[in-house]
Amino acid sequence: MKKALFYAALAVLAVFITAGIFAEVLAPCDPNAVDLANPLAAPSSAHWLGTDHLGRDLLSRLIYGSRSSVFLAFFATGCTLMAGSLIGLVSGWAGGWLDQLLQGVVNLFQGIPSTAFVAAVLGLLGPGIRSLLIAVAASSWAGFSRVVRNQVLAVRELHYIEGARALGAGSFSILCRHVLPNIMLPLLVLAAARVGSTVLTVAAMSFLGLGLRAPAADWGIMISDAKLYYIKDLKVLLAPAACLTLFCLSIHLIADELRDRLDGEGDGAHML
Amino acid sequence: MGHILRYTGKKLLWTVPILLGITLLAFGLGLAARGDPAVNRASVDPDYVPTREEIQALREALGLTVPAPVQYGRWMAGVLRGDLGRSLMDDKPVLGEMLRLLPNTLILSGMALAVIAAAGIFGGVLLALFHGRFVDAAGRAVLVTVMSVPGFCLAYFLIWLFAQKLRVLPSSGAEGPLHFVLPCLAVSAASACAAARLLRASLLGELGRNYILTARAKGLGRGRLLLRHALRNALPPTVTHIASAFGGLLGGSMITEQIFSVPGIGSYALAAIQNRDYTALRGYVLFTGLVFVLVCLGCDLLCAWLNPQIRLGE
Repeated sequence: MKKALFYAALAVLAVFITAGIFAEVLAPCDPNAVDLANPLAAPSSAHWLGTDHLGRDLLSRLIYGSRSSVFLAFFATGCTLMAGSLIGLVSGWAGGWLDQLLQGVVNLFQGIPSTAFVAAVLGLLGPGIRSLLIAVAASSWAGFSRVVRNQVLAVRELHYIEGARALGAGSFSILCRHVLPNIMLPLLVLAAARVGSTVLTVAAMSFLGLGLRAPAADWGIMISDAKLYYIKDLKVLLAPAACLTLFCLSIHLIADELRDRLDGEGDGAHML
Repeated sequence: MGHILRYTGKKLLWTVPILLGITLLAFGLGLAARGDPAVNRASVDPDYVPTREEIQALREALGLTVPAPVQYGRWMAGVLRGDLGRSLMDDKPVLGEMLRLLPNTLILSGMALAVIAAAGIFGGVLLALFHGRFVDAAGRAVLVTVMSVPGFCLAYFLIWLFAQKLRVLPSSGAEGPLHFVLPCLAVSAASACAAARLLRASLLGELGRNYILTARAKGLGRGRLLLRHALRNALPPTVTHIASAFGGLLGGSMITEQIFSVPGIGSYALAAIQNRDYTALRGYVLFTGLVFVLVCLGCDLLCAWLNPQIRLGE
C-alpha cells in the first residue's frame, strides 16, 4: 500500500514535469490568448477545463503554470542546496573561529520567520525570477548548511578520511571525493522535502504580487487572478489549487518514503 | 532548580548575539533596497515632480548622506530608546503603528497557535492509540492531504463555503471574535496536521522503549501508558515544531491578513513592501525577529522542563 502510494506520487510528479517540459506540445491553446467574448466558460470540447475571467484556456495555463511553478521550485531548492552545502562544508571542515562565526550566522537566519524574510527581500529586490531565487535561497540555506556541517563533523573523523589524508590528498579532493558522496543521501532527502515548501512559498509570493508578475501563466498568479471571480465560478480557483495540492502531496509522500528508506521507521525526530 | 536557572541563563545569553545579528540584517535589508528612499519619499504625490534640491534636502533630513555604519549607529540608538523611526509613506512612527496593529495579529496568531497545539496533540495521541488500525491509516491520509493544501487556497475555500454558501461566518474584518475563526483555521490547518503527524511518530518511537515495556509489565493500561509516560517524553520535537510554526504564523499573517482584510502588522508590512518603505520594513523584520526569538527561547525552556536530559546534557 505504501509502496503503491510512493509510485503513484512519482507518477504524478513525472506528469507535472513532463507537462512543464512539453508545454508547447501538450497545451491545447496559447495560455495568454485572451477571448473576451468567452469569459468563465464551462468546460467544453474546445476548452477542456473551461476558461478564466479573460477567456483564457484554463488547462493550457495549468500546463504552462507547471513549467513555471514546478521548475522554479526545483531550481530554487537546487540553489538553496548548493549555497547551504557550500557554507556547511566550509564551516564543518574548517572548524575553529570560522565555524563558530558561520554557525552564529546560521542561528541568526533560522531566527527570522522565513515568509516574512522572503517577502522583505523580494520587496526590496523587485519582482522577477532572479529575485525569487535569491530570496528563497537567502531564507532557507541555513537548514541545509546545518545538516551538512553536522555530517561533515561526523565524517571527518572516520578512519578512511584519515587514510586519504595520510596518502597526501588535499582538503579539496577529500571534500569532493570522500566527504560529499557520504553526505549526499541525507541531503537529497532534505532537499526533496524542501521542494514542496518552496513551491508553496513561490506561489504565495506570486499571489501577493511580489514574485512573478501577471500575465505569466503560473499557479500562484492564477490563484491571485481567481480571487475576484471564484465566488461566481469556483473552478478558476479549484484548478490551480488542486495542482498545487497534488504536487505538494506527491512531494510529501516521496520524501516520507525516502526518509523511511534512509533511516528506518519508528524514530520520530526525522519526520520534519 | 539550580541547573534549570543555569540553563535559562545560558539560553538568554545566546539570544543577545542573535538579536544583534537581526538588527544588522534588518538594517542591511534597507541598504540593499533598490531605488532611492528620498526619491520615493518625495514622489508620494504622483502629480508632483520633485526638484534635485528638494531630493537632496530630503536625503539629508533622512540622514542618508552619512556613511552606512553611522546610519546603523543612529538607527540602533533609536531602537534602544524604542524609536524605530518614521514611516517614509505617512510619516507616522513605525513602532506606534505596529503596536496599534499588533493586537489583531497577536489574537490571530495566538488562536492559531492554540489550535495547532490542541489539535496536533489530540490528533497525534489519537492516531498513536489506534496504531495499525483503520482510524490510524485514514487519519494519516487526511493529515498528509490537508498538509499539502496551500494556506491561501484553503482561506478562499473557507470563505466560499462558510461566508458565501452557508453564510454562517464573516469573511473579512476584525470586529469580533467570529471574524477570527476563518483566518485562524486557514493558517493553522497545515501546521496542526504536521504537528499531529510528528507527535504520532515520536509517540510510536517512544512506545518501543524499555521503560514502556516495564510499565506495561507492571500492568499499566494502554491509554494511561501513552498519556502519563510516553507523551511527556515524546513532546519535545512537537513543541519545537509548534514554536517554529509560530514563526510561520507571524510571516504568514502577511497573506492571511490581506485575504481576510484584518488590519494587523502583516498587512502593514505588505503595504511597506509595496511602497518600498524601508524604515517600516526594517521595523517589521526587527520586531518579528524579536518575537520569534523569544518564542523559541520559551520553547527551549519548555522542552528542558519536559525532558531533564536536555538541560543536563548541555
